[in-house]
Amino acid sequence: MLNHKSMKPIYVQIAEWLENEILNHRLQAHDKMYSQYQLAELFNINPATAGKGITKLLDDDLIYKKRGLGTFVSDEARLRIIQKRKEETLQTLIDELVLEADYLNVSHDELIARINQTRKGGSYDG
Amino acid sequence: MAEVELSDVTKSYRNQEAISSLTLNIPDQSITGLIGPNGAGKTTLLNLIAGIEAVTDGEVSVFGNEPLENLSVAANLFYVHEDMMYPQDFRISEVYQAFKKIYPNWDQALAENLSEHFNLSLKQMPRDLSKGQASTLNAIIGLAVQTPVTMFDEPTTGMDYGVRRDFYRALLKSYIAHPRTIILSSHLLNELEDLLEHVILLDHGELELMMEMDELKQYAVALVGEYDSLIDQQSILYQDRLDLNQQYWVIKHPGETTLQDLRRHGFTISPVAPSDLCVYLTQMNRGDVDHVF
Repeated sequence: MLNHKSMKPIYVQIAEWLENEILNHRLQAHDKMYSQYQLAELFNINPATAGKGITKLLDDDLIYKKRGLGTFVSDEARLRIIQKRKEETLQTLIDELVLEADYLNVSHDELIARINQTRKGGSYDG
Repeated sequence: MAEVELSDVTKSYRNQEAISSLTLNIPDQSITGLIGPNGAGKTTLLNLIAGIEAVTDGEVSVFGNEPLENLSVAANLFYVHEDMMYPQDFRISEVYQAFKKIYPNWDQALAENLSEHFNLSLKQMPRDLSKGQASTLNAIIGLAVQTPVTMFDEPTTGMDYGVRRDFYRALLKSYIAHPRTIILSSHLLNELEDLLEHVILLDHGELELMMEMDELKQYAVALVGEYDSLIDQQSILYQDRLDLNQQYWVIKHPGETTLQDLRRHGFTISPVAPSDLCVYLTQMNRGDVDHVF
């Protein structure tokens, strides 16, 4: 599940895995979050690294703390994740896509046609 | 005050310095890796902390005490190393009984269960074990004593990959159950990446770097590309020519903006494994092997 060849630090990968759990509805609003020790066991990593992943979600207001009880998924977590992924992940991919398309002299129309084709579930054979 | 502190410590053997003016605090309640090439001073450092050897100069403090022949340090610090000696005529079960008497937190169930898992019979005698089995026995004892500070010097010597992996997992689970200060010396940093919170890199008896594992992973990036005019020469840790046009650089992480810039200029960017980075950092001090020929 963890990718050691990625540029992304392990704690960021943990944070993204948790975000995916929320996106997939496996963790719902007000569900109890995994503890850093559960994550450390699950991913076979140092608990401090797992803790940093949880802190990242706290910083992004995706989870909230209840004194003595642990952390729980925020009301708006799923919507915030979708919004954030659009602005960050998706935009980065689009930047790279456009860069590569320009590099290969792919026209605007061809690029759009390819995207549409992929969305329909096939591959472009222009 | 940290549990284990070194202040300007030097250890010399016949005027040869094995440790040179080393000052550092081992992070409490953390798993720290002690990394470095052979002869970097890893074992000497552990011997000094354990109080097996005396410093030539400077101060070592363990729980506020000088460790040399100190009983309270001996009761709170356990040191797993290759030359551990057990009474000649003891079986493993008797060794465990002896540890149980000395160390109040000794976990007999963990020792027995790990022995069974690793196929060590309690009836065997330590002197009859193979090198790998002896390492396994030492490692089991190091996990079961549960002292506030536990040090492992190259604990996996002679172990198969599968046994090493299980030992790392056992160490992690034991640490989660009972957080304590653990120091692990090894040259197999790639196997320890996920286990360690902190890394200390020694070279020639000196501190090359000490940082969190996460920072170390972000410390450098690898670039493949053509022109080096965009690269800050000061930040180059390693370089190698791949072919006539392409060159490979390892540089200090220049920040995300500069990385984007380099990417736009056609550089391929990839992460640098911490174990490789440690080799590059220590090689800078001696040049790579090609220079010999």
